[in-house]
Amino acid sequence: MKTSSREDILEAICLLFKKNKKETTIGEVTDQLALSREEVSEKIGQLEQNGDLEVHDGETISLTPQGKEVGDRTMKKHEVLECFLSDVLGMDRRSASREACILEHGISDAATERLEGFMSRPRRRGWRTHRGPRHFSSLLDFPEGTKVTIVSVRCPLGCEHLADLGIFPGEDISIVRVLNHKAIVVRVKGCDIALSPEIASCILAEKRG
Amino acid sequence: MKLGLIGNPNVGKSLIFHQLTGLGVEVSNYPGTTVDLFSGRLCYQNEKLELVDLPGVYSLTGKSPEEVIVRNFLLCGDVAALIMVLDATHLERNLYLLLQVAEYEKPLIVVLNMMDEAAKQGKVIDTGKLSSILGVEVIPVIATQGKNIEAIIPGAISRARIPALQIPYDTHIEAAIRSLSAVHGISRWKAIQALLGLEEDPGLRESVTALACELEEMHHMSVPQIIAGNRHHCARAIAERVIREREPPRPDSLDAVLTSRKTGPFILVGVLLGILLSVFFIGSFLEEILVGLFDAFVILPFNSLDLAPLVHQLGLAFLLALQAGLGIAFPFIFTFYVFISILEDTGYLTRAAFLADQAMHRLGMHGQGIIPLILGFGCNVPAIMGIRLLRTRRERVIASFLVTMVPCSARTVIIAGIVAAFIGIGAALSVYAITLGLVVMTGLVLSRITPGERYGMILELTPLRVPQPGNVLAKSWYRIREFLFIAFPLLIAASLVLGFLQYAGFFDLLAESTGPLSEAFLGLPGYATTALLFGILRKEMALETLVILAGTTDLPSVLTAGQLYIFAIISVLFIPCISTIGVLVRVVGARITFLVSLYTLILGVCIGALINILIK
Repeated sequence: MKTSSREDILEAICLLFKKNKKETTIGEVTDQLALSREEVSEKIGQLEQNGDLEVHDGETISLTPQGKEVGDRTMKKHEVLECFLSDVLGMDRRSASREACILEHGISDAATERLEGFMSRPRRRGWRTHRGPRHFSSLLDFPEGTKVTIVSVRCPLGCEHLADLGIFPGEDISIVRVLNHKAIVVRVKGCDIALSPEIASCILAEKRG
Repeated sequence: MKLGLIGNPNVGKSLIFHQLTGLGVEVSNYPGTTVDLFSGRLCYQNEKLELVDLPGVYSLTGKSPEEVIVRNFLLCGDVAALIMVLDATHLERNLYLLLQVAEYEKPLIVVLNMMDEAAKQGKVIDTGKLSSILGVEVIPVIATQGKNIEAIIPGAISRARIPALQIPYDTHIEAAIRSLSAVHGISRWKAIQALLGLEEDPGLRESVTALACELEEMHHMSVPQIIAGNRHHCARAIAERVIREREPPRPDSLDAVLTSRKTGPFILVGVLLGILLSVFFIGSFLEEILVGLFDAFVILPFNSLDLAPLVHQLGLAFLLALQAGLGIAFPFIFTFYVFISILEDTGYLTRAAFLADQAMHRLGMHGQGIIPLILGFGCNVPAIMGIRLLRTRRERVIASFLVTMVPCSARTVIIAGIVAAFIGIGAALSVYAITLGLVVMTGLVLSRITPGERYGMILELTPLRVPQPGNVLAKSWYRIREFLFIAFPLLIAASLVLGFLQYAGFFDLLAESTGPLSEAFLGLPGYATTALLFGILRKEMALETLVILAGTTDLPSVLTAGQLYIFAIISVLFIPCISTIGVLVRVVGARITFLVSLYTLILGVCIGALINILIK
C-alpha cells in the first residue's frame, strides 16, 4: 500500500473525528474520500494489519496512537499548505485545497514547521495573518484622557525622532489633549509632546487597562 | 582646554552656560550649517578654558543639523571633558541621551539640574546611587538659584571620567553587533553606529542592510526603533533604581485651560494682540523720548559745526541712521523681544505652536511655523533666521514669503508716523488688516503650489514655569544682537550711500524719471516714489526721505490723505529691506530671495494702484 493513500485515509478519519466528535464509520470515510466501498474496506483492512487502527463490529473505526499521530500530522500539513497557497500566494480556496492534498505527502516535517513560522508572523505590509486580520486604531481614534500602548509607528519621515522622544512600539502613553482638527498632545515619560494629525495617524495603538 | 555642555532642549543648559561664562560669549556659525554655536572663555586656576554650549538634542542618531553638530563635536579629538546637563524632573528621558553620549567614551561629569522642581513634584533622587551606576560624578544643582554652579568647572577639570556603563541590547542586536565586528574588524561602538545607518563605508552598509532585513522581520520594527527601545528600557531601569516618588504627579490645571480647545485659541489671540498693542504704545512712547534726546544732544550740536557740505551731508546721514536705528532697536524691537522671551520662558510659545497647528496647516506649514511669524513683528531679520527650525525646504520657502510680509517694527513706525498721525488710528489698523489678510491669502495659495514634502509637528511642550528676569533679559539681548550686528551695519552703510546720492543731486533726477509713471498709476508725486525706493534700504527711511523731499514735516499740506495712505501701504508691502534680503539669501538661497522680492514688489504696486483707483 502506498504511503500517500495510507496518509489520506488516516487524515480523513482524523478530520471526521474532529468534526463529529465521535467514532468514525467506514461509510463516512467512503463518502469523505469519494471512493468505492470495496476499495475503502480493502485499504482499512490493510491498515488494521499495519496496526494503525481497529475496526469494531465491521463498521466503527478507532485509531491507534500510531495511526492518530500520522493522521494528525498529515491534517496539519494540509492546513498549513492550504493556508500558504491561498493567503500568501493568492490561490482560490478550492484549488489550494486540491494542491495541498498532493503536496502534503511530500513535504518534510521541518519544512512544514518553517512554513508555519513564516505564516504566523505579520506580513510586512498590513497586518494580515493566517489567524485572521487584526485591526489597531491610530492615535486619532482615541478620546482625551485615554491610556494606550503603542503597537507600531510607521512614519514615512522622522520615525527615529519619535523614537527618541519615547514614542516606539510597546511604550505606554496617555492622550492628554485633542484639538478639533485632531492635533494631539500625548504624555510620554512625563513629558508632553504635541503631534500634528498626520503624524498621529501613523502611530497605531491599543487601549490599555 | 575645551569643554562641551551637552543635554536635551530645555534643561537649563543655556542658563548654566551664561552663569559659567558671564558676558564674554561668542556666537559662531558652525561650518557648513546655519546653527549657532555659543562658546565662551573662562579662566580657572590660571588655566584658560573654552566652554562650548552645544545645541539641545534628544538623541545623537538623527540627521538634523543640531544632531550632526553634536556628533561631530564628540568625534573631534580635542574635547577635554563633557558636562552633561540632566533635568531631574524628566530623568528617564534625559538618561536616554546620556546613554548614547556614554557610548562615545569621552570623559564626562553629570550635572543634575532642577533639583528644586523635582523635590516639588515629590521625587527624591539618590545621586550617590546614580553616580555609582553611571560610573561618573553627579553634581546636583539648581541653576535658577545659582546653587552649586561653582562646583561644575572644578569637577569637569579634575574628576571627569569615561562612563563605565554598557547598554544591554536585545540578543539579536547583540548578535548583529558581534557579526559586524568580526567580519569588518570594527569596534562595538562603530558596529552600533553602522546598524543605525550612520557609517558611510559601502561594504559595511551592505552587511547592515542584509542584517537589518532579518532583524526587522523578527521584531516587526525598524532597527533604529529596536535600538531606541533598548536604550529607553535601560534608561527606565536606571531611573527606577534611583528615583523614589513620594506622590504621583498632579495634572497641571493651568495647562488644561491654556491648551483646551474651547479657551485655548481665544487666549492665544488675546496674548498676541496684547503684545502687539503693548509694543506699539510702549515703543512709540520710548521712541519719542529717545529721538528727542538724540536731536537735542547730538544732531543740533552737529548742525552747528562748520563743516564742508559733503562731510556735513554724510555726517548727518550717519547720525540720522544711528538715530533711526536706535529709535527702532530699543523702543520697539527690544520691548518686543522681552515679551517674546517671557512667552518662551514660561513655556507658552510651544503651546501657541500647538494651538496654531490647524491654522498653520492651511498656510502650508505646521504649528512651529507660527514662531518665526510672531518674531517677524519685531524685526524680519531674526525671524528669517528662525525659519531654520522648520524641517522641510517647502515650509522654509513658504515661511520666507510670509515672514517678509509681516509688518516689522520699522513698518510700524511708518504706519504710526504717517497713517496714525495724519489720518487716524482706524486707518492705521486697516493697513495692518490688509497686510495680514494678504499674508493669509499668500499662504493659502503657496500651500497649494509649493512643491516638496509635508512634515508634521513633533514638538515637546516645555513645562510651564515662572520666567527668570535675568534670563529673559539675556535672551532678549541675544535676539537683538542679530538686529544690531546684521541689520544695523547695513542700515548705516545704506544711509551713507543715500546721503551721498542726495548730495550728488540724484534724487531730483530719479523723481523726474519716475514722476509720470508714478502719477498715472499710484497717484503719487515723483518724489514720493523716490522715497519709496529708498525704503528698500531701510523701511522707515521711506518716511524720513519723504519728509526731506517734501520739504516739510507737515505732510498733509503737500499730500492728500489718500496719497499718504497709498504711500504707507506700498512701503509696508513692497520689497523687504536690504538687511532682510541679505539674510534671506543666506537661509533660503538667491533664487527664492529674488522671487520673494519680485512678488512683494508686484503685490505692493498692484495694491497701491488698486487703492488709487478705488479712491478716485
